Amino acid sequence: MTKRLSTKTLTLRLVVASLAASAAIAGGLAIQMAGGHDPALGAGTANAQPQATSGSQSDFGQSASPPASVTTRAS
Amino acid sequence: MIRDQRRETRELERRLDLFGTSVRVLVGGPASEGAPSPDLAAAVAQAVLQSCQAELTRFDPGSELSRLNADPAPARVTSKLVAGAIAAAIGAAERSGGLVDLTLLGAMKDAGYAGSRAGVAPASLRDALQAAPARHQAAAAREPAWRWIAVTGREVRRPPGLRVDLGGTAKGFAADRAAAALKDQHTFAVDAGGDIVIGGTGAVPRTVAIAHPLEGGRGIQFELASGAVATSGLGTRIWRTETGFAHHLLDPSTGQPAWTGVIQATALAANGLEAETLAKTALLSGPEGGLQLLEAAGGALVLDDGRIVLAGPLREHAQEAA
Repeated sequence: MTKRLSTKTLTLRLVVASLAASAAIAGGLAIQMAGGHDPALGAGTANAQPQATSGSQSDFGQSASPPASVTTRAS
Repeated sequence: MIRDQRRETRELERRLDLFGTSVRVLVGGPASEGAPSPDLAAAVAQAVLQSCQAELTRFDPGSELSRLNADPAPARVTSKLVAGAIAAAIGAAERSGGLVDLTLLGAMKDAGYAGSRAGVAPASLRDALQAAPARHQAAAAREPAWRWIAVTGREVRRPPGLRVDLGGTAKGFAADRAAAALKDQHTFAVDAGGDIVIGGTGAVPRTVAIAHPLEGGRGIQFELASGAVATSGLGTRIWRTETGFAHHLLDPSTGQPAWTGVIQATALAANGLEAETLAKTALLSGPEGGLQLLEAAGGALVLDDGRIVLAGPLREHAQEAA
């Protein structure tokens, strides 16, 4: 015969599970940050938070390491 | 400072169309303690560049510079940015012996450069070189009008009718101001259409290539961890006229396009404004004078026949681009 759980017990378990999930995510982020990887910098694809600018083609992507090369030219 | 060591980093990138050219802002984190995040710093740098474009362009009649040029009064209180840019351009004129002259707007329009040439395909530089007159180095105007311009705080005084064109000086000036917003980031680069300021607390070397104006692609490259590099040349703002070809680098002594034997000059310096000033002065000075000018901090000339001649530290550090 299956034991029926009370509403109070179910709520308690959900709260515990939620806290555990939050802790796991935070731990994962901390490990990535400690390893020098800031997830906010993206993972090689556009991490766009462009600001609308008149006449501009603005994007917020990520270039490969080491620092991106630049080219000087007459303009 | 030219560095040889490398280490990995990641960078954010912003691309903008400003100053009639393509502009890039590159920022690599993490920032120094207490400094703004890379994305916030990049946004500030972008805003600085956009302000410079909006206020310093001569192609928008509503810009602060255009309003100054249209004002017949001998003195006008302008914006802090415009006053600062004009003061910087006067300094460039002094340091260049008058070769970088901010008062050639009338001659520039007479030569055919009245409106923006952004997006306009340039004429063939090879054809222009074949049709160009005998080469000789440029010289300062006999009676330089820029000496009559005085900036005091936000007030600009000049003879009525004298108009100002900040040209390439504005790009170097803008790149320096944008770079100031990024100084506490690990790595950064502001590329204002070839006027580039590089730096960051990490002092991480970055590859800088110099485009070849005749052969296309990259001519040579080197590593730079901090400082500025700028290029001035005939290849982009060049057009056909009824009598031949013209371009935007004028000989102040004649008001005509300068054909000096140098088609492109690249200069290294501590900041963007100085690099831009050195590059333009070197081109207008011709092969011999240009090389002498670039010897101290380093640079490169591309001569009429396409040869690249290196100066100063670049002789040891530059190599053919991959």
